[in-house]
Amino acid sequence: MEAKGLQVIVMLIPVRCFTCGTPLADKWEEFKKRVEAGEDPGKVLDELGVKRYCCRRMLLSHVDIIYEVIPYTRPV
Amino acid sequence: MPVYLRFSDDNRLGLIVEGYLLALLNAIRRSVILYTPVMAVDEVYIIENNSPLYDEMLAHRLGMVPFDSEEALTKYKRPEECSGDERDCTTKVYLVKKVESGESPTWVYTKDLKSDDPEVKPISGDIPIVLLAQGQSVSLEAKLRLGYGIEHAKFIPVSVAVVRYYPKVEIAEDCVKAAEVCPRKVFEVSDEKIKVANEEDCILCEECVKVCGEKVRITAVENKYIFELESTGVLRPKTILREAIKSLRRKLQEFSEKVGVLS
Ligand SMILES: [Zn+2]
Repeated sequence: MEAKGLQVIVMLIPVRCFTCGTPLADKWEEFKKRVEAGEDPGKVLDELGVKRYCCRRMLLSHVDIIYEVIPYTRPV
Repeated sequence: MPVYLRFSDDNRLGLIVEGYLLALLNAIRRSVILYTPVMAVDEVYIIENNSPLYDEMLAHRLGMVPFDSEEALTKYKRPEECSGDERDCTTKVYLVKKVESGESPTWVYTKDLKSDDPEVKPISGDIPIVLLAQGQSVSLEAKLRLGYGIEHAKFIPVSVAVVRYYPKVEIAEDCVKAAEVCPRKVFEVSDEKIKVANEEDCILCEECVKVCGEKVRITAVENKYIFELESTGVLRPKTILREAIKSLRRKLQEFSEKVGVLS
């Protein structure tokens, strides 16, 4: 996913919503897969049952930085 | 003093409460957030970690993972009864994962956690913990215990806990614009006329009064409130309410005993 607009800059998807504390991390992979396949993000969030906008921005604005970091970590 | 059920499912509970003091309902609501015991990872012993995350970040992510606490409430002691590693105070989960060199990066999920107690397990097995590149490994054990939300947000069992006024919506004169501006879809339009469809959804924002003026009247019913809870999944909503009231009652008991010994 390309980095655009407002981002919550964290390496990998936070386990919970920063504001309300609902667990969200288990919905990330499906969200990412379906949005990359061309579905409307708003519709996908509705279907995943993410209804408050505090939770929606967590998934909507997330970028997995960890894939870019991992080549520079120690392969022990 | 009646209490009606507005809605109830696995994660949500809505009550309509009549005749109780708002201050009492608020005390219960705050007790739900701050004094309901919940199981969470509290200490992590890291044996090996050369993943891209620091030990502290790894421990923090494990701490935020919600664990099913429904059975744990009867099995483990409350935080005030524990001062360390006594019996029935803690349980452990283990995580051992290694990615051999030559393999592609692999995610570690909560389903890779091995629990000592099969009844205390993450509510979802698909929560990603960390990504391991080739040759990297994590090996750790984590200690779980019951805790209260007042101590740390990971022990809070709810994502929503609100008490709000019971609304009363009256239409004096027809005003279709009210249906357009209402953010909660309280009104319904049929034959160019509005009628009240979901009165209980009204949040008293008075957006309709701004466009319609005297034509609609929004008031709060005295001594009637709506109590809503949404669980994060660690406990059932009814259990949360029961445990919160139990904690509140214990606090009152303690207080009254302390007053009793005053001369
Ligand atoms: Zn949220």
